[in-house]
Amino acid sequence: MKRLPGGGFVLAASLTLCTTAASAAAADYAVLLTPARPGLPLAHPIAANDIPPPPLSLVADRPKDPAYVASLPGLPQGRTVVDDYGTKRPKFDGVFIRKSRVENGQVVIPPGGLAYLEDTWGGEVALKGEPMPVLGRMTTYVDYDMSIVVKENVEIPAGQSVAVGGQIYYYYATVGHEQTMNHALHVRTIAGTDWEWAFGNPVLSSTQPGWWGMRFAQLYNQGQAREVGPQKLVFDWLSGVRMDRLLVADERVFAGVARAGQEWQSGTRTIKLAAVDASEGTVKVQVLEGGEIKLERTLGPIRADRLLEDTEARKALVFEEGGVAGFLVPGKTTFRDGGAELKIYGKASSLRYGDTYAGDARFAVYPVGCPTGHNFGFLLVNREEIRIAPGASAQGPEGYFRIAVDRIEGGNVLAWHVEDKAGNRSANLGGPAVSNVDLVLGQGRVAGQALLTDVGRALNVRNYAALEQAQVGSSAANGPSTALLGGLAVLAVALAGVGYELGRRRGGAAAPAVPPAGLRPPSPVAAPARRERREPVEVA
Amino acid sequence: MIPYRLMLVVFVIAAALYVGVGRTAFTVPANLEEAEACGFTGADFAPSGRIEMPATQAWWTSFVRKQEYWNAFSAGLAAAFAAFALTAMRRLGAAVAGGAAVGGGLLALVALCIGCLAPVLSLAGLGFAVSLLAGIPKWLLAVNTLVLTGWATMFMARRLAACPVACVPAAAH
Repeated sequence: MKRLPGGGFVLAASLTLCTTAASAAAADYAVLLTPARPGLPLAHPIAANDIPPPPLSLVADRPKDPAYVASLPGLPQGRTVVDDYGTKRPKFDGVFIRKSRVENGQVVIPPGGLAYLEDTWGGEVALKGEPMPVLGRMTTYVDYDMSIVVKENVEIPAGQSVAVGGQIYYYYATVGHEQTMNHALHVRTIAGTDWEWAFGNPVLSSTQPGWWGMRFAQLYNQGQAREVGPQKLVFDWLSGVRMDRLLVADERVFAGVARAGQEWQSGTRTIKLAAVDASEGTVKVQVLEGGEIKLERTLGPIRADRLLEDTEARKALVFEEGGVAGFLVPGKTTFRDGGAELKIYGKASSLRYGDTYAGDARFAVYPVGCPTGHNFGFLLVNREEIRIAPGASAQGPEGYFRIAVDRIEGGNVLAWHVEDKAGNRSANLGGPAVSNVDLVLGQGRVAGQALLTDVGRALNVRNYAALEQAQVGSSAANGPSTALLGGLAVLAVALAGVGYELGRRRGGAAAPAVPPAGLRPPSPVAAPARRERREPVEVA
Repeated sequence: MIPYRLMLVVFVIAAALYVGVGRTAFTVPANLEEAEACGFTGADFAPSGRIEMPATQAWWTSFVRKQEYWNAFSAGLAAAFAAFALTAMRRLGAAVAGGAAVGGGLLALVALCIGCLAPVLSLAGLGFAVSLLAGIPKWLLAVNTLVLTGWATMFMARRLAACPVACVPAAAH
């Protein structure tokens, strides 16, 4: 296999991304895209407009020779959450810095260069009551909006990548065989999640029709190529899903079977179950404020064959109004005991793709979608350039972590570190050959797995060099320390003392010392012995 | 002449006391800096940002990783020797036996300086000793304590053997 050259910064101008499917064309694409099985509608609507991905999402923008930090106490790795159905899902905090540099004695991180990722090992599923950490605060993931972005006439030069919706297509390799060849794509998310584990990699070929074709489908990430070669791939169209919005809630108001007329309070809003119609499989919900009806919705019926991911079927169960949200719980026993099973949440808010993050206006938020309709965390990226002088630090979103620069000399960052909210610091990540503060922190699906495909080699080289330097420095600096030499000297003296005492004892056993006269024991028992020793010995 | 039974009992009591005080004074570290001082690493922190071990398990982990058993051994040896020296005081005179006992006490202090009480001793103005001894492996200090107390015990036993109890008044004649 030959890895293709490239890796330069992908300029938008170098790609021909002519048009995003307009709403007029949406109906066409809804037909053109392949559903999971004939007759099944697309689960997500075709996007009416394009929204730029977060800056530095392309493969060429990965961290360069990054430092790696496995964890800090305040940035948990593998924290398991459990949803209402007992499904366990590990969550990870990830922090990435890319395209950083030293300029005029300061560290500069460009817009989008500092990214926090709420990462998850399995897809986050709506309507399950799944806990979702937002910068350490545990919310509940309630619902989402996802759409399919379609772009026409897309060209991907070899070794480069292009964003379509929330997905990144990376023309990775050409594989030759006799006079034929095939071409491999990697499909990633804007966060770096690699879908290879879920769907494999699309392979295209115009010369091996027996093995490969010109079209691929990974659920709603699909494409139709018209020209494939070792220099570039050209697609008639490419589609990619985009997670437009996550609906999360801080407060659980109710979960269980409710009867008509039952009411709940959340802040100034009253939620009322106005009616239950088990025969129709519907309930009527009202949201009131000061006696005025703000929302009245009929929820249901439940379309079990298309849940949970089909937008139309799911939205038929969900209501949302002014910080209050809830849904009719889909299941075989939803209607029972004269009531219906509901879940109601308060303090609900949205994480909307490309919006300013409500908790910290310095950051923009980008949910990360899987073509299944599941969510794979969200990114928070800096909207403005960050500059850090030596001795200063830059705060992550809501001060969740800090990037601190301690010392810069001659264009190199000799000392810098990352620390969590509580002040727990990483090791020094700087050094005489470190010219940026690019970073990979975490052990999630992106930081601990997918991203390593791109940056693992450089990261390991850097870490090994640091390890070597630390060991050499340690042995040179410590050597046999004065304290250690002192300890050994004491040991030598003590051993000599023991040897002397043993020698005295051995000598005493061969020719016992005669106590001085003044120390003679007066004991009669001792006297004969003394006398015996004083008597001359006759030798035959 | 050497009161083996007394020394063994004092050794066991002193070593147990060292371990007991260490366990009593131990609190599960709350942040990385404290944790590293107790032999923990960032990997020991649970996703909640805390070390989620029962206190006794955390103490035992710290005890083993910090090789506190060497200190307990050293403290026991030093105390046993000091006890021997004190019992010999009447026969050897206050100067010799007292000096030996103080020596034993100093050895015990060394064990404390490098042990779990080091931070307390630093506060008490013994930080210099703590940092000086930090460069010596705990096993070497334990071996040194063993050999030094062994030497001193042999020396005192020899002096006692050469100077039975009853001869002291006789020497005055």
